Amino acid sequence: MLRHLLLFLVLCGFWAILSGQLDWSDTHQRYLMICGLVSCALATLLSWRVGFLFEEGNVIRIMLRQPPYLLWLLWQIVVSNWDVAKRVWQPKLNVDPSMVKAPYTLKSELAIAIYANSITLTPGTVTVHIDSDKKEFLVHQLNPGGEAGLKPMHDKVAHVEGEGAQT
Amino acid sequence: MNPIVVAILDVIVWILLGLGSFFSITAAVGVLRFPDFYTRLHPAGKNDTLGVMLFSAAMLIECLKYEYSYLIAGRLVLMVLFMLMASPIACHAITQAAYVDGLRPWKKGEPRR
Repeated sequence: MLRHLLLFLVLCGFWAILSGQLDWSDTHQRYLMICGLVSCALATLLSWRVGFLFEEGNVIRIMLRQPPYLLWLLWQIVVSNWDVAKRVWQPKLNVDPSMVKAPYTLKSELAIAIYANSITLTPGTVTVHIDSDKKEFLVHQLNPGGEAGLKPMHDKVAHVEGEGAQT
Repeated sequence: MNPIVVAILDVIVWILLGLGSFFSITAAVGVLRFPDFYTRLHPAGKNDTLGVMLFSAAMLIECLKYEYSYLIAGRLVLMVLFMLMASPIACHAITQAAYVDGLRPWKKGEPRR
């Protein structure tokens, strides 16, 4: 229930930023705001019926621990971009791609999605396939040695997810 | 606003725009140069994201020069967050489609495809 309330508030904030018309005394703007409230409530109700919100782990904890991780991720993105850019502009093509397997122990789907996205964004690797039975990713890397950066990243995401997170 | 501050902001904006263009062009050149499907997705998935993020940062700083621009700034931040999620997911979806279809990854020394 708390999650649905949170989703409703986040949706309302999203609507407010996108519309920007928040003057209750103006008839037209009041109409728009009521439309926003109705559609936010409808979206929350629908996602409740579908049951999206029950499999994503502790969303509040993950959101609170996101910012430091995001800053670290931004720096990693800059580093890996510089690496790929160097390889693109080198006159002689210097790539030696291969596939590696990366196991994971994350539990919640949100954390797994964050980890997979981070792999794609950072150290010369792209997530190709997620095998949720064997609990491992298939990762395509541009040059050998890219998988060395995956283990510390996994630990960071595990910290963001938190100990004993419910599924 | 102080004209000197405006000039400094302008310089920062131009540097960010230049870097963003560099990374976007790098992504395009990388897609053309790299040997096969999987390797081509590396520049497409990474450099494009950084390019868009740098463009948005430049626009965010440009916003600071005007009053009542907090709504635009908020939209830009939302856009960057969305790109940060959507671009790798699209990249992963395309790669997984190729993998499930059985496309063999290129190895060093083979002719490019």
